[in-house]
Amino acid sequence: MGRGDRETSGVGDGEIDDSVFYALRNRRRRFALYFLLEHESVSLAELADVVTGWIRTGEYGMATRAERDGVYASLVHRHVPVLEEADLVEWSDDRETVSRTNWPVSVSELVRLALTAETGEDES
Amino acid sequence: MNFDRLLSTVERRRKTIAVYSSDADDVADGFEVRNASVEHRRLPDAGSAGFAVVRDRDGFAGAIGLGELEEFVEPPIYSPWDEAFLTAEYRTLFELLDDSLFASLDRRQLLAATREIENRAWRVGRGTLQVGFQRLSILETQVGFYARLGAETALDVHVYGRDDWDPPVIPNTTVHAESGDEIGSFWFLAFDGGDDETQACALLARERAPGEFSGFWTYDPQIVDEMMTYLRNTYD
Repeated sequence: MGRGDRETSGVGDGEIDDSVFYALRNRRRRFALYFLLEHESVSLAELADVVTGWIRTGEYGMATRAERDGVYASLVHRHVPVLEEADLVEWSDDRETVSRTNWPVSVSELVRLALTAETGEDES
Repeated sequence: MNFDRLLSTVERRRKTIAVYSSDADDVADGFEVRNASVEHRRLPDAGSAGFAVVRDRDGFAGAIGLGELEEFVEPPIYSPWDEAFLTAEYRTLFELLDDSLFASLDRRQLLAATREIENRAWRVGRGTLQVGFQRLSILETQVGFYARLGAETALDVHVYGRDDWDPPVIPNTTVHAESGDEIGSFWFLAFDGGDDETQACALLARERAPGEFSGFWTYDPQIVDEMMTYLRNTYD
């Protein structure tokens, strides 16, 4: 729980905190991070739309309003705090905007690697 | 509330469609919606197809993969009683994009939407179905369909069209042969859902140029009711 018992591992030239790996173990958190690769900050409302829609893309059918509201609630109560704890995002004071922190290259590479492994259909 | 005014009522219900993909060219061609603005938001490159989010005045209305969106541009056509209908993927799009006013629909897209409404009426099996064929001669190729619909359900079917052909007697079906311009220029269907309002649906499209339509479909019982009342009062 506390910051004192963190462990780090090296990937390439950087060190990655265990809390980053923990953040990456949840699919909704991963898709939130993927979007932040391209956008420095995003409203929580849009982030919920994106996570809902993107996860659904691979599966046939339509993502509904109820599904999206569930994602929104889980972002607020669970996932954004975990991302914040891992120092991956900052939450605005009004809690309506999530911004990417200054990710070390090793973290960006890790997130990109996860993105390609999870959503990539071909090499590009 | 004539057909022109119904079109402008729907035009005021604005939606936005955001296409999320790694390629801005994915804002699909031919996907021109008059009461919705279409914007593009970038996703990082990874080879995934991307998706679209539809938002209305209450925010998120639905999200769908771009693959399915493309399917909508060239939809498969089923017969009204086809079982494939119940699982047809593009059906979700009809629900997502209802009350969107499409600036450009071709006959194939309208036929797909028509089949969705006919299938619904077929499954419910009672209530009133009003169908506008523009010209009654267009009904000629559909007589088999409508004979079966009339014979095998308790639907009360009303067919409208310009008076250019004398259809045979079809069970439970009233033919309204008209001479006005409105009936001649609109492709429409309206089904009241029988006693289940949640099954109500309608399609209304004006032929702007030969074979080129603009219009909408809706699952809003109030719009369906306005359309059906107008038809009943004007063309009975």
